[in-house]
Formats: sequence, C-alpha cells, structure tokens
Amino acid sequence: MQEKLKEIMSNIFDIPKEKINDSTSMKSVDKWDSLSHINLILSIEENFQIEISEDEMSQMTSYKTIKEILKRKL
Amino acid sequence: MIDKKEIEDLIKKEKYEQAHNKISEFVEEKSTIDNYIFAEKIYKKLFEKIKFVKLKVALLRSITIESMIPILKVKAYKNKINPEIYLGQYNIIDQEILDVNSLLYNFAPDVLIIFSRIDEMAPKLLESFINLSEKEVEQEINNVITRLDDLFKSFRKKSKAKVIIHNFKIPQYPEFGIADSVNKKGQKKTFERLNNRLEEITKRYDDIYVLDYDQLTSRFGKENFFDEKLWYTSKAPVSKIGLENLADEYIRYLIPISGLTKKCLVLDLDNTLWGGVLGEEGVEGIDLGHSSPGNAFLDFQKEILKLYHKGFILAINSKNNERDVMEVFEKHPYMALKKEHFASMKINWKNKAENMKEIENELNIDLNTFVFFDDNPIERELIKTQFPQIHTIDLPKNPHLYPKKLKKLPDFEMLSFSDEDMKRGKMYYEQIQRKKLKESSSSLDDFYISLEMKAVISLNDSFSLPRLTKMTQKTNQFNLTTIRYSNSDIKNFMDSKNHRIYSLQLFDKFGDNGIVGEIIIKEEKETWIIDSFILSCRVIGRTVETAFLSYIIKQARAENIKFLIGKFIPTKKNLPVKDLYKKHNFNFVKKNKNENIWRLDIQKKDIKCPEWINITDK
Repeated sequence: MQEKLKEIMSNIFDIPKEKINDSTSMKSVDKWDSLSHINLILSIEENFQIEISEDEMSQMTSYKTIKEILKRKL
Repeated sequence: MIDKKEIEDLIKKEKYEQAHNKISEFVEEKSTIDNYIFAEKIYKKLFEKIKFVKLKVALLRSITIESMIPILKVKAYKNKINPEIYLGQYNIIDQEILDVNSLLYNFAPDVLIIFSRIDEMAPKLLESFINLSEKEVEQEINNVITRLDDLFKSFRKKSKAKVIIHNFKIPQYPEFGIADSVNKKGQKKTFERLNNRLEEITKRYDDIYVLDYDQLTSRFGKENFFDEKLWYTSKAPVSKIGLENLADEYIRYLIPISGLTKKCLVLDLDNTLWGGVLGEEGVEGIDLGHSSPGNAFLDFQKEILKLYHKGFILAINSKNNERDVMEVFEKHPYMALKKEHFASMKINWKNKAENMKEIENELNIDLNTFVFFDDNPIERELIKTQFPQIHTIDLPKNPHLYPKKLKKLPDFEMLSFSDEDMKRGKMYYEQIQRKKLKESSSSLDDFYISLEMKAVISLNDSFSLPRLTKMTQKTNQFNLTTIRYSNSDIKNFMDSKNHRIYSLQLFDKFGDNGIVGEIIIKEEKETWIIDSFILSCRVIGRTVETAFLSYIIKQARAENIKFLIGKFIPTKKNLPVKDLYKKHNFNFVKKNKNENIWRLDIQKKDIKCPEWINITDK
C-alpha cells in the first residue's frame, strides 16, 4: 500500500518516489495545492477503491496522515 | 496488464508509433488520475518523434475543472493532437471575452470552449422557479440569450477561433416534481426553450457550435455525472467519470477541427460482419438475421451502412475465398451491406498487412486515415505492429457490443456534413470503376470519350457556398494561388460587383462527382484576373481544366473583355500545375515576388473545349 501511495504522489506532484517520506506534506511540496489535492483524493479513491469523507480529505495533508487514514480504512 | 517498463522499452528501441499506442492502452486499462498524469509525461517524450497537430485551446468556465486537464491532454495525445491549453480563471467568462487586452486574446486560441452554469447565468431559474411568473421566466431566458449573443458578437470581432459552448443541463428533479409537464411554465420546457434559443443564435455566427451538455450528462446519468463532495468542498461538480466523458466529448470536436477525421473503415468478414466462419458454415450457416447473435451483426452492418451514407469509404480485408463471399453478397437475405458499398475488396489468403497496402494504393488515401475492425486479436496485432498509424479497434469479445463500439467512436466526427461529403463513399466506388476502365481503354482519348463527361457550370451559386469555401481551404495540389478564404469572404465575392465565382460540377457515366472546379475572377477594366483556380484532385488528369478555361473565355468575350490574367504562386504541393497557363498558350508577363503573372489576349487567341466534355450552364 505504501509503495502504491508513493507512486501516486510521485506522479501527481512530480517528485521522485524515493524522496517521499513522513515529512512530505502540503507545506513542503510546491505542486501540492488545493487543486492538485483534488487529483490526489480522486486517485486514492480509485486506486484503493474507497470513499474519502470531507473530514478525511482535509486531514490528508501529509504522507504520514494519509498513510494512517488508509491503514484504518483498508 | 501493460506495465510502464514495456512502454519505456519501446521508446528506447525507437518504436515511437507503437509506444504511442501502448500508452493509450495503458491508460484505458486503468484510467485513474495518477495514471493520466503519468501518461501525459510519457507522451511528451514522443513530441519530437512523431507528428502531432498543434492546437491552442482556451477553456472558460464557471466551475473548478483543473482535474480534467490531464485527462483531456492524454485523450488528445492519443489522437495525435497536441493541445496547448489556456484555462481561464474560475468564473471569469464575460470579462475575458469583452476585454481586448485579456489573457484570452493574448493567448490567441484556435478553439474556445465555454462552460458556464445556469446558476451563474440565471440563478432564478433554479432557486425561485416556483415563484416566477411566466413573463419573468421568459425574461430570464431573454437575459441569458442576450448576454451570450453579446459575448459571441464581441468575440467574433477579435477572433476567428472556433467556439464550443455548452448548453444547459435540464434539472433532473424539476421543481414541480411529477407535475412539471402539466404545469404551463414547466421547468423542463423552460430549459429546452433556453437551449433551443441558444442553438438559434449560434447559427448567426460562423463556427460556433453547441455542445449538448444536457444530452451528454443524460447519456451517463446526471446523478453519476455529479460529485456532491467535490462540489461543496471545491466547486468541482463534475465527477471523475463525468470528467472523462466530458473530455471524450471535447475530443469529438478537436478531431475534426484538427483535420484528423478518418476517411476509411476497413473491415474483416468472419465474426465481424457476420457470426461464424463462412468457409466452414457455408452461406446458410453464418449468423446474420433476426435472432441473436445474428441480429447484433445485422445491426452492426446497418451502423456501417450509415457511415457509408455519411460519405465514408468502406473496404474489406478478409481471409476467405472470394467466390464464397460473393455468394453471400448475392444470396444472403440479411446482408445490409452490398458489394457496391465497398470501394475496395481484398478477399484472399495473403497476409492482411499486404492487403492493407493494396487497399491504400487502390484508394490513394493515407493509411493514417484508416480505421480497422477485426475480431481476431492476432490479425489486429499484425496491423498494429506493421501499420501503427492505422487506428486498429480492439473489438469487444461479445458481438452484441459491436454496434455500440462503432457508434461511440470519435474517429468519424465532422463539424458539419455537406451534400458533397455525403456522396464521397459512392464517389470512391465509382472512381475505382473509372480506374478499371482506364486500364482497359486502349488510348487516352478513348478513355476520355468513354467517360461521357458533362460539366455544369454555375455563376455565384450561393447554395454551394460551404463547398466553395472548403475547396479554397483544403485543396493543395491543383490550386494555382492557394489563397484560403472564409465563408464570409466567399459570400462577399458573390455579392460584390467586381468579383464573381464560377463553379463546375462534373458528371460522368459512373455518376455525379459533385462540385470539383472553382474559379474566382476579379474584374478590372477590359481584364479578368483569375484570383483562384482550383480543381479537386479526384478529377485531375481528365482535361476538365481546359474545358473550364474555354468556358471562362467565352463568358469574358461576351462581356467585351480583352485579356485574361492568370497567376501562379508556387507551394510545396502545387508544382504539378506550374505550367498550366503555359500549356494553355498564355504569355509570361512578369514575376512579382513569388507570384508568376501570365496573360492571354482572348481577342486573338482561343482555348478549345475538349470534344469529350459537354458543357452546360446551370
């Protein structure tokens, strides 16, 4: 799951997979704005076949929190 | 499952066309947003390697739609279009269009897409529809229409770009519920009226097209098209599946705008046009008729026939005994497609790539205008590797889905269909028959005589306006000056006192070739200048140009004209007509930059009409 998530984030934010870690967040990544956030949410929903609530959507602002939320839901 | 490495390998091996096809298959297999974004990047590596048509597309919108951009780009790349996209700021439509100095005009689009929401344009039609009087409803419609009309007017003053405007989605739950249709000012009726009015005003302008957004959303279900969460959190109302279907719909426009509409459908026979293998089952044994699965094959044939009637060319590429197939054409009661619908038939046991090459030679059109349908994945793979420029369709396993597959295909979309276009399929069939006749005639003169040609010439025929415009825009080979004109230019010439347009329609023993010749004359004192002289390539080499010039001279003399001036402007493609005026005894006068001027003293010299062409006035 973590590999898949890194691959998604790497594609969407145009950063190398290896550089993604727990400190990767909306603040540290240039291309991660509210618009590309929609792409991230849609991609996570499609790839993991889950539905993300509005609350979760607003919490998912770093690799770490996304990973935690996904662990809970999968 | 296609993996990313497979694509990278093809690029490394410089198999760019194949890599191109593989990327398309990759996203079609798993069309998640991240895959679209990945595919977008990979496609870019092919830009320098294979030809893409560049197109500048501006999108003005009153919704958040950023997520559609990678989807649209990938779908465009798939079709060999490389769109540069300008996305207007959220909900700034009027300002962009009205302000001459806006970013929109700075971008200079080839295509402008306008996607506005009714809740921005006329919120009352949604929020307080129940309380509006009939008069107020009408007023709301008028306001929207006037506002859009002003935008079109303003835009047309500054840009010739094609415009695609969404119409408005009819609410799926009308305010009066099931009583909506009983109600005098029903909401559905109101929206339909609004959409009809929108269509009416667009017709007053050149090149403004209505995208039927209401129908598009219904096709997939309005509820599936809408994403409540993204709407309320991000003002992005279109769901992921909606975005894909919307991008597909845009592609339907971008293909013909980029001149990438396919021309020819090449078909396999066994298990494609009918069920079963003819060589094994025999004429009576194949599945074709009124019960399943034969009825799906019959419907598929009917869909193909519609393409023929819209002017597309049909061809067969099949491994079969030709005699058996002819028996099916002659005897099977349910063959919707007849022999004469196919301009080219390759029915033999050669490999299909070889046959494809022969079809190309026979029809004399480019392989990249071909679409290929074959149920056999091995044959498809052969064509995909040998001719990756052909669009080979991956047919669904179940023949029940064939008709839908064909209907959904964007490859045969056109912005409009002229009478000329619709005859094309038939013309190609006749063209092949002519070629066969030429091969059997002993001398060229015999061939001309046997064609029984009749030319009908019209002056300023406004009914043919679209065709005459198109000829100036599309013809490259037999085009002496290659000046491109718009519909309104052509109309102005027809209305003007010192211009006139002659058009030539050619008939022969095989049928009507349509309008194939155009001459635009600029009149000066005692002189007619041939501003444009165009002949469709399908009648080149049949002395039609000589007949046309002889007619022009006759007309000019009747109006006491002394000189006929011809111009030739060389391009990469029109060299075959370099000596046209010389061959017709014009004298060379001078060269103005790249313009060669020729003159004929028509009081002293004449051009005789070839005896095998019979000319009449319309």
